[in-house]
Amino acid sequence: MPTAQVQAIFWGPNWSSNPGDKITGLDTFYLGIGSSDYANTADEYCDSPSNCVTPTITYSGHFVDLTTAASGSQTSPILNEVCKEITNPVRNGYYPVYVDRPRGSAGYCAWHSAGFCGGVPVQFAFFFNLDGDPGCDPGDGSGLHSEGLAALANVSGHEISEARTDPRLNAWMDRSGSENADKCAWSFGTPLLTFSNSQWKIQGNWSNQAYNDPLRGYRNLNGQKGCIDGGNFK
Amino acid sequence: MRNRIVILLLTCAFLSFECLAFGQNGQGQNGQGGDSQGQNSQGDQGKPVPGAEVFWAKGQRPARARTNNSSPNLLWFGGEHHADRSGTGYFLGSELE
Repeated sequence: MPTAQVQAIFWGPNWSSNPGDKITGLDTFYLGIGSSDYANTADEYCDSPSNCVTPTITYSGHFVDLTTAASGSQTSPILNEVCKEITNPVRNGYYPVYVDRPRGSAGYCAWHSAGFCGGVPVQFAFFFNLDGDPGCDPGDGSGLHSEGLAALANVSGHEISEARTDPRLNAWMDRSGSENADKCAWSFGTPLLTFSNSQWKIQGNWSNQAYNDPLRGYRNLNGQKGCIDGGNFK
Repeated sequence: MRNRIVILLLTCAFLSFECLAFGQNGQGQNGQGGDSQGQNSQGDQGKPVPGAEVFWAKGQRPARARTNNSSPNLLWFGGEHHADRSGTGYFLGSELE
């Protein structure tokens, strides 16, 4: 998507009783990510020379649904929630759904997918509550955010980066199916990335250009020097 | 004599049919079992959420096919990343009468 219009959904009864700093923090995250150098890490991906991803990301706020949230083991209940909450979906809409449930035995922290609401193509993502979850903790020692918010910010950066470069799951990936953020998962270049309104510890994204340039990029967990994050590695 | 030959031929035909049928059945059962096991193991190690691209927790990512001999770079698989693209029709040529 050259541009993305984001509206977040917080789903589950615990968002009323125990939101912590996560709702306000993620509002800040999505308000600040647009036009950031981090958002620029995806701008080399195009589907024609004149149609490339841009760092334009707008945020229209969030919805809270206090009904019991789905488990996230299937995409259809999450898409149904998106279509229920987002009454005016747009084609470049990206709708992250944050549930109040912990990850439990699931092997993943989050996922993204695509579907249709009333015939309109939409992009959406699912996130567990990652409070106290070492398997999804980026290790943000800044003290600026709770551990749970820091974890959600890192995985939120991961998912929106993939949704922008591979919104319908058929655009940009490597031969093994890894998308731009997958290839730099759990690999951090800069201790804290700066948005217009905040700072976050977020993994980088794969750059073909950086991989082909010996002066750019940092290594992913496979030792491949193609990750950039818009901080020390542009 | 002619009746014996006919009976013998019918017996051979019956036995051949049974052998073929048994062989196909046995092969089918094994094949199905193998396929089913393969799909299950693929499902266990592959995407846990059908139709989604997951972000694995630390150390949880399944092993994928090695691509050591090929570029690690991303490729465009032809799909749109422009979900918001809209088209405008242009009509060229002489006006219809």
